[in-house]
Amino acid sequence: MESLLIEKSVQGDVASFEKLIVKYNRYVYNIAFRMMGNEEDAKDMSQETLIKAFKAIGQFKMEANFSTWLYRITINVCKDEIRKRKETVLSYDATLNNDEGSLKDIIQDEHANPILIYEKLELKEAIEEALNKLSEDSKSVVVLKDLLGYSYEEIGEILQIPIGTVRSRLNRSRGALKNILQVQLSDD
Amino acid sequence: MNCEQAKQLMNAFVDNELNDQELNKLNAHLDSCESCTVEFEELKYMVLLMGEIELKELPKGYEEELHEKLLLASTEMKELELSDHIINETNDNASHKENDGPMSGIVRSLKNFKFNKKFYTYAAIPAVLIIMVFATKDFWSLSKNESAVSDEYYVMETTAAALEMDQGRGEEGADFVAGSAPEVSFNESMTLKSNAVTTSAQIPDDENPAEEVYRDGRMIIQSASIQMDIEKYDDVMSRLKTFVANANGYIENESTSFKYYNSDTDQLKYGYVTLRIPAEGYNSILEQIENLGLVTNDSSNATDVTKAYRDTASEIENLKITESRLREIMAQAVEISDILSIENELTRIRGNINSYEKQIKNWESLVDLTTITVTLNEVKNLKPVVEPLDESLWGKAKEGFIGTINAITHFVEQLFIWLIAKSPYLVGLAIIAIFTKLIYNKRRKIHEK
Repeated sequence: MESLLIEKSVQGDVASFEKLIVKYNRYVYNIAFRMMGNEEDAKDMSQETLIKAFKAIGQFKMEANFSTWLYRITINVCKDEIRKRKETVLSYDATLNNDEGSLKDIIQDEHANPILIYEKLELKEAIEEALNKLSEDSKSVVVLKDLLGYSYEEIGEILQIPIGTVRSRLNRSRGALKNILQVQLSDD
Repeated sequence: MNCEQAKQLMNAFVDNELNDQELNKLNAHLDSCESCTVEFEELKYMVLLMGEIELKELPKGYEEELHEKLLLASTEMKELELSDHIINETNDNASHKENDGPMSGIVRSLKNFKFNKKFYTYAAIPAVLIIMVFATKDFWSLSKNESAVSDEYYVMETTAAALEMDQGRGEEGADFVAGSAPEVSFNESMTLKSNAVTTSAQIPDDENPAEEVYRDGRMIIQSASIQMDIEKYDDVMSRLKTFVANANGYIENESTSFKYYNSDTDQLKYGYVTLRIPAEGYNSILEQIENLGLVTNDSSNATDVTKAYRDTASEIENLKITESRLREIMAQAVEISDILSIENELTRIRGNINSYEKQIKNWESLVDLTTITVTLNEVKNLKPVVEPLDESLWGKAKEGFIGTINAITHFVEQLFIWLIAKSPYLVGLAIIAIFTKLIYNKRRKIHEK
């Protein structure tokens, strides 16, 4: 069924393509939302993704998984956009990549309150906020794994990185997220 | 076990990737280390909460807006397309209508079936027969489509994938799902040959991997996609292969199948090939390909990755500097914990460098070898010809007649088999029916009395 729709979409049939993506566009939107951090950008980026996919569907190889292909485009489109924005507004005094690899990661803050003491709802909101502060690469693995529940293998395919890298990146990103969360909660 | 290893195990635990032995190790560590216990609880809780974060709904009017944009995109794309493409679409529509025919017929006869109660007994027998014939015929053709393959359909696919240049001289897989032997072996030898050419071209690259030399000049990834109608599929395919061999390219992907599963005597084929051609030969081979038949859709795309390439290259250089700095620090480090954290950092940086280098290699190979996707659609005649009426008419009528006779014999056979096979049930049912009839009669008699 899917391959038929893909074949028709290759011919430029909009209706078939829409039928094809109806299952996925909510996920595309959600991935874009997490990557960009706000709804307006998420809408623009996810639509750009889907149009890009429509134009490039001729290059899609049938043996690959369509959703994986689509999510890969989503993440790349978002990353490109973020990169573009960084280039235009680059300031000298902003802290670069403060979420990972910094000294704060290596030397744990022993005095921070454990996050367990906070209210569930409060914590959930804080997590969403903290997610936005992660770097794109960290964000993409955490979102795909912990929010959308994809397996290591699928994530490796989407991001085109080996599984070992997925695992280590995920470990690191979760650690970074937790640190951000702790700093954020103790600041409030 | 130290806390660092324990953290890795915690993450693995959260992802359900921990075996019993590792779990025991982790538990042993947690018993003795309070900070890790807190850490573990926090991690579990955080991941649990993230899992509970709900998906956002699409904003209002999202799909409408997308639809507009898609239409815009498709008109943009269609400007490239030639008008002859319509032929394909009408073909598609026609086959749809054919499919609708018998089904709607059944529905209609079913409706009649309900209304004419008076003619019930007379109409029932032929109607049921007709329905059965249609249904069985439909059913058989359907099941034939599904299990397909055996006699009327085959797919042959040869894949010579040398996508990951740095991973070796092209891993090649060759899948054959049935198929005619001589053709297939020919294909294979062709691809192998062309593959050999490309791999020998890569060898210089592989010999000095240690020295990282980045390229100057523009990095442009070119790709094209051509759809065309052709007359003789096999001829065109072999000519295509000679072109590719001449241009020192190779075939990355190839797939051929029959267009229709059954009811087609012309045995028209449909397929696509993905070619990887060195950048020099790109334009000339495009022209050669386009001369093979009637082009229905032609699009090409060039992506300039110069900027991204340079950025990545400088990123690698930066990371390498950091790496060597870290090594210097490493030499001076005394504390075990320092050494561990530096080591950690080093592996992370190495990982980043490796993935960037892979990206660079990937770009280089994409720039060196352009990608051309050719979709071939075999047609009987490129220009529509009126078929001689009487001959084909009689032929078709005859075919149809034979088909119906076959269907009826099939049906009778199946009915017979079914009757025999289900006879135990039928006997049981008959007994029940006789009993109910007897009881009914008895009651009526009592009632009458």
